[in-house]
Amino acid sequence: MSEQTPALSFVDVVKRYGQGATEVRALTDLSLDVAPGEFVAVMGASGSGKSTLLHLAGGLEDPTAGRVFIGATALDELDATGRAALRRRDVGIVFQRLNLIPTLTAIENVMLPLELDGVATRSARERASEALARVELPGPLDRYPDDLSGGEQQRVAIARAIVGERKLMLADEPTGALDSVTGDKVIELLASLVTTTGCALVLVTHEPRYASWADRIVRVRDGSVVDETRPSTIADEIEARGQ
Amino acid sequence: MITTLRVGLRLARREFRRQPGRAALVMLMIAIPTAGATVSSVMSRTGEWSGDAQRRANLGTAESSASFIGNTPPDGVYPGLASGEPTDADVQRLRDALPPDARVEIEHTGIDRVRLPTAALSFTVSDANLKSHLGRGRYRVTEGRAPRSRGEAAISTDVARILKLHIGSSVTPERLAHPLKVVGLVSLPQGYRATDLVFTPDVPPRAQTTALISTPLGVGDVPGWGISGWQWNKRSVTSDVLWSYVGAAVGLFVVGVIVAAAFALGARRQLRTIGLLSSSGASPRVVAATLASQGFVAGAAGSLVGIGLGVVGVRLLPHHALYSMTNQDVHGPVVRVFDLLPLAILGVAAATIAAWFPARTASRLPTLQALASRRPVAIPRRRTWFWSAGALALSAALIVYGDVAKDSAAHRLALVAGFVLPLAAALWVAPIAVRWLETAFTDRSLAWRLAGRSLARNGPRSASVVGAACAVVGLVVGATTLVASWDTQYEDAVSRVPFVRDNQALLENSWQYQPTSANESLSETSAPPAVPDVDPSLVRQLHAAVPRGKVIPLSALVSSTGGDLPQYEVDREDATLYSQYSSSPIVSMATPELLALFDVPAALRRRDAIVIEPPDGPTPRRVDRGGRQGTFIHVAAIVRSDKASLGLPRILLSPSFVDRLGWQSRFSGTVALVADTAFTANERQRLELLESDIAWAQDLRGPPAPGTSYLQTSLTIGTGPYRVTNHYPVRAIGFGGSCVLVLAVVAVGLVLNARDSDDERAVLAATGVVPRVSRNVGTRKAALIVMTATAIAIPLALIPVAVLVTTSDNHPAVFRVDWMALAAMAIGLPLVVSAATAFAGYARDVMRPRRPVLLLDD
Amino acid sequence: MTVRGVLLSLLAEGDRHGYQLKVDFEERTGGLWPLNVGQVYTTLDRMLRDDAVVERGKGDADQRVFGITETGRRELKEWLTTTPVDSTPPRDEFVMKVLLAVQLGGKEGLALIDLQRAALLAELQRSRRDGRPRGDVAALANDAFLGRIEADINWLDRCEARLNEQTKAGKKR
Repeated sequence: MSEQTPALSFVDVVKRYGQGATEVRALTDLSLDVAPGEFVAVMGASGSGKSTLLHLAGGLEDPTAGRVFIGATALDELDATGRAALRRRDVGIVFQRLNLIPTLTAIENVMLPLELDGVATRSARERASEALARVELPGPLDRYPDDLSGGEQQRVAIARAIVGERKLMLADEPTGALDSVTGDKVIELLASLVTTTGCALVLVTHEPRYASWADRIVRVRDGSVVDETRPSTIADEIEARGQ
Repeated sequence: MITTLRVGLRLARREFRRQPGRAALVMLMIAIPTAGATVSSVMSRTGEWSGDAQRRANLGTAESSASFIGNTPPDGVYPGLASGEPTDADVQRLRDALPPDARVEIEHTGIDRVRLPTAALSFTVSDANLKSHLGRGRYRVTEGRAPRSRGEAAISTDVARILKLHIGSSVTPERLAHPLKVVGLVSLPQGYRATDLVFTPDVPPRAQTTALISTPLGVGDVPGWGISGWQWNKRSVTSDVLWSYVGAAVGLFVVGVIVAAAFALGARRQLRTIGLLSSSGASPRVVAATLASQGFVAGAAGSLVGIGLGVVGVRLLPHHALYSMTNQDVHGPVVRVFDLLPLAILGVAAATIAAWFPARTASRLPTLQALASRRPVAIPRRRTWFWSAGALALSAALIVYGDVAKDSAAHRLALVAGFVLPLAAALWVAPIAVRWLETAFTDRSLAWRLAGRSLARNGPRSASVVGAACAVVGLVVGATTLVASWDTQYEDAVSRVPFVRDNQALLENSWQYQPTSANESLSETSAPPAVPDVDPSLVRQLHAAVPRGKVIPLSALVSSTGGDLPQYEVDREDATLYSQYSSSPIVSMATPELLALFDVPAALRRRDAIVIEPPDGPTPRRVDRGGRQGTFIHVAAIVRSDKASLGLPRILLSPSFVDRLGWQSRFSGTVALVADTAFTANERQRLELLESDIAWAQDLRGPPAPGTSYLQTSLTIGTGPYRVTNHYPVRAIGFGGSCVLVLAVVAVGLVLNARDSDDERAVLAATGVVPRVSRNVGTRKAALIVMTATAIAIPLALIPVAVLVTTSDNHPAVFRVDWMALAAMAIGLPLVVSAATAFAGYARDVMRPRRPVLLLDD
Repeated sequence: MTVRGVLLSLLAEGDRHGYQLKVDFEERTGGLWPLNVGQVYTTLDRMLRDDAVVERGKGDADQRVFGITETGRRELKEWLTTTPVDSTPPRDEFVMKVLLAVQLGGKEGLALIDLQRAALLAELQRSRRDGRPRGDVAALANDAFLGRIEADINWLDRCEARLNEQTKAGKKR
């Protein structure tokens, strides 16, 4: 294990919804580190809390207990404004669908975090078109989201998530609304962006084929994560019991 | 921050392009009050006379003026006319009192009149030197030249028009008794009465003497002369403009409720965008600012449109409209950018604030809920009841405090606030009412049940639509009730003779008492002395003024039997206040003509008019009339108007009763001019000229001797309709306007709801419901919104009016509801709106058939 | 049966000799199915016996050239239009292991399932790292392979869910 600060770190995170009899434990004592430049796929049965994990990472929800770090920043130490700033600069989020603001053109959607951060429109536009070039979006960039295909929309959303110097990209079933061929291409793009930009990626998916692109596949089970790509530890455990 | 603002504005612009209907509604909402306030502020400014202009109109280039007051006692009744001519010594005394380099010009003004076959005109004759330096700026010769010698005259353009005179024609005033040849036309400064002046070196006797004085050092007291400089009260004019801002603010507050509703619906529609903004790193404050900037854009556009409409509208007004609005002879509307700037700011601020509230609420929504376009169902809090009750109580208190009787800025503001507060109460009640809709229709047909449920489940959105409709309905109900309650009171005051309609004029003689001093206490008067017949020449002039009219002599009852005459107590306070007019009531026999003349049904409908028995009724009985003048009349069959304020008390007795009393009646003292329809503007103007001529003629006779009674002739011209039923324009505007506004509000509510209802209809269709039923759901929704709004707004609007009307000392009006307007709001409005909605739904179904089932994959 | 069907489809395109059939067979199936010439000739002999093919003389290098008969065409048509569905559950080693794991229950069962899944995922990742095979047919064949692994992983998920239910039920008791 390298000693550098992880891009994303969960420390004993607990998330419960509701109270008393209706209490639902989404996450219990979850700990997870994502190294910079690492591509981690999160799998799990539906309702296992894999989306909750992502929302916690993006600061969109608060953990009931435990801490979440983005780089060296603890999310619980930030107020709403501070988390917003984090989402503008360090963390990009891609959802399953309807990622784009319908009244903004493709490039304006990508410019959004920069502009919200106070970058002048012209340089924001330049950087946004660079980001769009990276996601290999064909055609003119001033089209409205409604005029783009589903795959193109997701590419724009990805461009928005990587624009600027992002440390971490969070993708919540980004291929869920796409056909499998387009989905393959989007995942391929995400994987290649991880290698070219050095930005860490957490991909929530229930499709093994998309998860297989990841450096590491983790499974959320009973509120915590199991590393799926280091089976040896499990085998050791069985052996130990057998004796 | 600037780039953030730019993002917000960009989103706002795009959002408007996507939702042109809502943008237009918001713009219209802002534009309407802004346009009204623009007209009002421009008219205030137009009616304003700058201090300089006023001084010039009165003094020319002089600094002050002196009027000769002679030896008249200071409390004299007619100081101006009693002053007489100053002697040379008097004039010298004035010059001595002035610094040596002071310039003085003496002018004389007197009253004279011209009788023509068709009209009589009284005017002021002045020997003012039209070319003098000091007088410059007052009068301007527009045609011909100034008079140079006796027998020549320059007349004002309006005098020329009325008397049909032109340069070269001649005219013979009564008192001058020799002809004057018209040599020039003069335009008078703003603010002069059209008929004021004729310029000629000839001046009628007993003229008033005025000296224009130019000395920068000022003038002290001069014995026998009253000195006046020019004072101009700037504040009163500016405050007129300020009040138009207050009016704009109130109007914008009311429409702000609608605008806020529109934006609340918009924010609901943009929840996903809000979530995306938040997840892309916009802080809640930035999200709110982004949404509020939509209000900013709409407000800016709306107030620009409103100001533009207002300015264009004022410019299109004809001259006589400007005259009647400013009560002055103005040259044209005065549009100043600095007067309109606050209106623009108010409009922008109103829309921005209206957008801010829903924006703030939406921005506080957790990001994940926003992303899911989910909004928590708001549960109305119980304390809203207390808030509403508190608002109403505060409103009543403010209205009582701010009753227009006490006419100060603070009181007026309190009154305004008192009328606006019930709207706040309505906004608090609306969510509760909307929630009630959920269970209210459980046993009803499917369409009603679905409509009620849908509105209740979308509580906050429905509440804001209902609140907006409340604002409209409340405004109309409040206004019509206030008009209905105040209506007759104001009209009475104007007409001076209560219940005289606008196609009638009364010419009457009456006895007046000239007090020995202003402080003399009046003895109680009893029966009036007999009044002489009306001057036949005046009757001829009445005929001439309104040739189509009929002149009817009216009977006045004269007591021959003495003691049986009813006794009248004259209120001392009123007698002092109105000693010019009121002394004793006129008692007339209620002949059929007379009853036709007076608006008896209107009188009967009012509490302050009493009918005791029908003319042939049974035994006379005693009637106790309430009010300030405790009068006991032991007679039957009376139609009585007891408005002692400005009108002459008038008692009508039935002929049979007069017979029983043994009174004599003779036709004298009063004639009525009656036309079939309302007087035309031209007839009215002629009558008004006659009216002022009669008044002047009285003045020309000089003051009556103190302590004596003198005969006064007066012409009163009926004005205005009395019946509430005649307020059709008010109602039409109110009803039409509210239909349009409520329709717009409901349309925005339902259209923005269209996606939800599309889903609902798809499911309904899939389960085999015919399109008509699912269309009905929309219609029922519209009806429910409007009915809920009227149910809330009508009582809330009536309460403040009732408080004002019943507590006001100033206008002791009777609280009366305009039932027709109320019915229009309570029944007509829901019908119109649901019919329109039904038609729109039908048209949409016909033009754009729906897919049978939409896949709901959200 | 599969070999026979593919050979018939090749012969339907034109006459071929034995070795050529082997080469074409491997190309058509995306290299998924290596075949030796002996197997080809055994199958051809069987088809000759059934009148599905006929010998059309000798080729250039004195090889036997085969052609399809009318009977062969009918058989080919029938083969292509029939979807092979296993009506019995698979009896392979993987399935047996997992079924045992489910019955084992508890943590050990879960660990065994995890182990299997990890292996399958590793296989997916390996194939991903190897990159997409060139050529459409090969890529599609690879997809079929990956799809089966995915199906197995999904089945493992179902087994895990079942296991969890058992564990919960056991705890309740």
